[in-house]
Amino acid sequence: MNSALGVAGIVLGLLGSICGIVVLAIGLRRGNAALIRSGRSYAWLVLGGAVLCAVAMQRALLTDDFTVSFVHDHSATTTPGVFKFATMWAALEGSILLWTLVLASYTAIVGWRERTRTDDPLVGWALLVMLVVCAFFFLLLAGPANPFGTVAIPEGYDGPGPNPLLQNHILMAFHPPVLYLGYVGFTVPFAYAIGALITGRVGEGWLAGTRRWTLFSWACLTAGIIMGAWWSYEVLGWGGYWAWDPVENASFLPWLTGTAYIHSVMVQERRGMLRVWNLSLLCATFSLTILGTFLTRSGVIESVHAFSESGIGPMILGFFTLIVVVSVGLIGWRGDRLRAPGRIDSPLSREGAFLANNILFGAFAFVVLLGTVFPLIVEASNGERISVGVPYFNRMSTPIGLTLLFLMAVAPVLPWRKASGELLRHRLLVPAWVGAGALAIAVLLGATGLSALLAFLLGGFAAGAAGRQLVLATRRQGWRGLVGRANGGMIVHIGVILIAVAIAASTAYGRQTEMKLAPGQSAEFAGHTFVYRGTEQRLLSNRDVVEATIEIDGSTYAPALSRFRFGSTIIGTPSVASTPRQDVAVTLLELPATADGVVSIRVFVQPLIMWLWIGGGIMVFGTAMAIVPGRRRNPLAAVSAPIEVAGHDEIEVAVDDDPAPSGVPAEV
Amino acid sequence: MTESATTESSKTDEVGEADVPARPTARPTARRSTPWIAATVGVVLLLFIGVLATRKPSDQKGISSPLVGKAVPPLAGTTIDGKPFNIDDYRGRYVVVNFFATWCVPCIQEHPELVAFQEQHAATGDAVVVSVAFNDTEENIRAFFATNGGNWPVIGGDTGPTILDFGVVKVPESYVVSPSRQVVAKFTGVTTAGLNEVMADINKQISGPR
Amino acid sequence: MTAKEPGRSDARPAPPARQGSGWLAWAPVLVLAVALLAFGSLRPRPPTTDAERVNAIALLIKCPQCVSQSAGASDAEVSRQIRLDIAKRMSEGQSEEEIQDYFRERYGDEILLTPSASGVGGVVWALPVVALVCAMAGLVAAFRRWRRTAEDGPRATIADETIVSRALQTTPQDHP
Repeated sequence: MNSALGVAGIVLGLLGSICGIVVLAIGLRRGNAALIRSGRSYAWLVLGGAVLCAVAMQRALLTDDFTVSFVHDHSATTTPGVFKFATMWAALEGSILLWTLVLASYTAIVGWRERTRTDDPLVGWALLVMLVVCAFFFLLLAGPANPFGTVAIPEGYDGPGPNPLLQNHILMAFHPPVLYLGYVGFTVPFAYAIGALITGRVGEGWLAGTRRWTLFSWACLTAGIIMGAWWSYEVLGWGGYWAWDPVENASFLPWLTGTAYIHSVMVQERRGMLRVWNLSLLCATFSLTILGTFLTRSGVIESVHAFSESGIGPMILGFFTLIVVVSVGLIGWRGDRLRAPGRIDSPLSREGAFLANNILFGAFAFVVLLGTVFPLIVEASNGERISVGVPYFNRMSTPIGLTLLFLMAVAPVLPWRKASGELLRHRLLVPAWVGAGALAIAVLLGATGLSALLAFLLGGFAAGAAGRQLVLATRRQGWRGLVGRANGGMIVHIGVILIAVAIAASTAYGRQTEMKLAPGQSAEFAGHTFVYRGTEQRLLSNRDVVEATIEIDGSTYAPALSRFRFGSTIIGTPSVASTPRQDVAVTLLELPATADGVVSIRVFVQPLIMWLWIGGGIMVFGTAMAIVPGRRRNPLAAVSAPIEVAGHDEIEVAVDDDPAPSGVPAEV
Repeated sequence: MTESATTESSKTDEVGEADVPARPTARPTARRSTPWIAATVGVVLLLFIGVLATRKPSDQKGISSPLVGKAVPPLAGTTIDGKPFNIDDYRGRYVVVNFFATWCVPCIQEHPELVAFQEQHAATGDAVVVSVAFNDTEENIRAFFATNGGNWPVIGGDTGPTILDFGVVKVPESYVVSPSRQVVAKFTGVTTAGLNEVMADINKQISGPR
Repeated sequence: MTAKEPGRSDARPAPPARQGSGWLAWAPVLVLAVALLAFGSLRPRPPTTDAERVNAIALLIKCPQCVSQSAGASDAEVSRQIRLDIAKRMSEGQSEEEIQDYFRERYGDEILLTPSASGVGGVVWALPVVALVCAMAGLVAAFRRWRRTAEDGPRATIADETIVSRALQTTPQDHP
């Protein structure tokens, strides 16, 4: 029954999207407004199909319906309720289902939001592109990633349950959905961009319409990545939060190009420049989400997400090829129309800073992508097998990160068009003192190491600049000085600085050791005392847990080793004692052989880890502040249209012709 | 936008009227570089896609070992029967060094092949099998061999250094050592036929050039 | 600030430098920052324990059977053996290079997480630098081209300036 419902949902979604594509294509070709308008209803059909699939899957999971192949392969009666719900995205097919659900929801929302403009060809093309992506994912669900196969089950069958690593922490219920909200969210601005390219209306109108989508998606992607780092730290227990694993890189790459994009669009909105950059960055962001999925799920790179080998790789790669060809082709075709009417007057200006920002983030993305796929390329060229691991990524990203911190300090005080040296010197003096002050505090606390010290100096510098902007804005506008794009952006910058400083400190000054402790024995490390008190055993529904009671500086913690019933894999659960100043994490390496035996633990002491999560929260909060509109004097019109001028090519004239800049306080 | 339109106003100073609508100068004949850049980017990306398309999934990648062709690492220890073992004693015969563990399912699956191979060559004595246990206890090993058969030296205990010496990634792995004490092949999961094939190849090489 | 001289090319001289915001005011903070950096980076680091030195090397070696984890970070049995082996070799006095060579001879190049600087691996180090240099060169060339176009381009006329100043007077001033 559930399988049938699910398959019906897939068929509904697939047919709905294909029909929508055909109808919209014909309508757009012929300029038939009625057809284009009717394209909207297909978005609802697609949403219906996806919801039907999701409901069927959840029903099967929560009622332990093992006749459904996905439930048969990945769920168990003994899995706790919340994790049963999260089992939907614990394996490949379910993840594709989640992606499709989010995508269909976004498509329907786009259709609904544009309900007054659905005979606008740009919107029509955007909806078409979204339906094409929907069709692809429904095709995946119908083919290689079908979760709704029917299985004949023997009497009393109980499934294996999801991978033990995914049943260990409640975060598993949130991390993939939030990440997908961000990941998939970039499909919407991409669809609008393709629409703009095809219709030739490459001005600023489509940008203004998708601004909130982009910021929301970016915020979700940021939150998803931070949650992933938190999960890696708290659940996997290897003492770190980022391993430059292909899975992590797959989510980080679109974040990098997406961040460059959200900055660079400000130049296009204000001065109509950097259009090719923006379109390229946006297409790159969307392509990277698809490429990342291919790299992690096809198995060409060893990855923790390559849980199953499946035929999904070639299809995703084919879709990626299509996106690349379409994006590059369209941008190349519309190249002349994308030329800006203005030029960047001086490298020392806000535009120049955003251009440098694009290059730095582009370089960062290039480095991460290169490191991830280089082993594949080498193997293809001469069969050698090499690894590119953490040392490479750290060494490459440190100078880029430091330069970005510097840019974060200087860019907010740069005016548009042209700055003079003494303007900068005047505005940056106080932030420079803040930077020096931060460095002094660090040095007083015993910091060493040039890169870490530079990070503290530049971080303080950037925080001073961001703080300066916020103080000036609140002085002028009261509490409204905290909302709006510029001010929200400064709050996000502060979050980023906190994260950068935390990364620098924890990487440079983290310490670890292994200890063997007898019951009652205590040991000292890095200024903390550890006392082992004994072990306790607990039997849960899906696993046997043995906890070792460890007192860290007098407070009791219980790192554990869990043996999951099926497959008898042993997973460790670390204990983390967090303070704003330092984190002490303890993982259980080996259980004592006898009741009074010696326990083997690993201890990690790292400073400022808590600020990673606080910084992440501030980033999301700042983005929320940025999405709330600030005081705008002249909102840009929703659509900018090209205007024929006798004897010349069409030029882009934004409907806004107020010489004062809109949307951003002029004191910038 | 009006700013740029103003700066690009025609070079006419004779206008005099303050509100002549700005007429944009003819755009400098664009060097039409965008299609070329787009084409280059496209070609690079298509090449990259080609590379990706021709990769095999990582778990199907071929087995190579840097040890093949080199002298066998030292292999000495005490078997579970308490007897000393040293691979040097087996010069002149083929030795199949099999790394396994009792809790590993593919090891259990390949074990009958090893048993068959050892029985085949027990008479001529030209090939022997020796097993090295990875992270296992002696009782488990004894029980394993009691259940699955096999009568050859098994080294237990602290085999960590040996594991690293041979570059063992995971179990099961087997290394075939030629009579001249060279590692000639590596298997992850042996078959009797495969082992015999390797031996035949090496024998041909040894006797061929003469 | 620049609002007084709206978006012009370099025709007009810049306003006179403000005293007190000149380089003089920056001298103390620059000196302090450099001094602190020098002091902090040159002072001796706290001593590391043996276990940390072992771990530092283990972090550069890939765990052979894990999925892209280092031997220092993974809990797999093989990784534990590798750490024990490194500890043994360090106590015998082997250098980091010798230890890495040992593993490379047995597991191949892919056991080392840092791609070598020579050979094919060197490309992954060189390529980003080359790309950055090209990007910088491209930027410099683009700015030169734009500056040349701006200098050869039209200048603002008296009529233009009148329009602009009139428009500015009617817009609320937002900066001090």
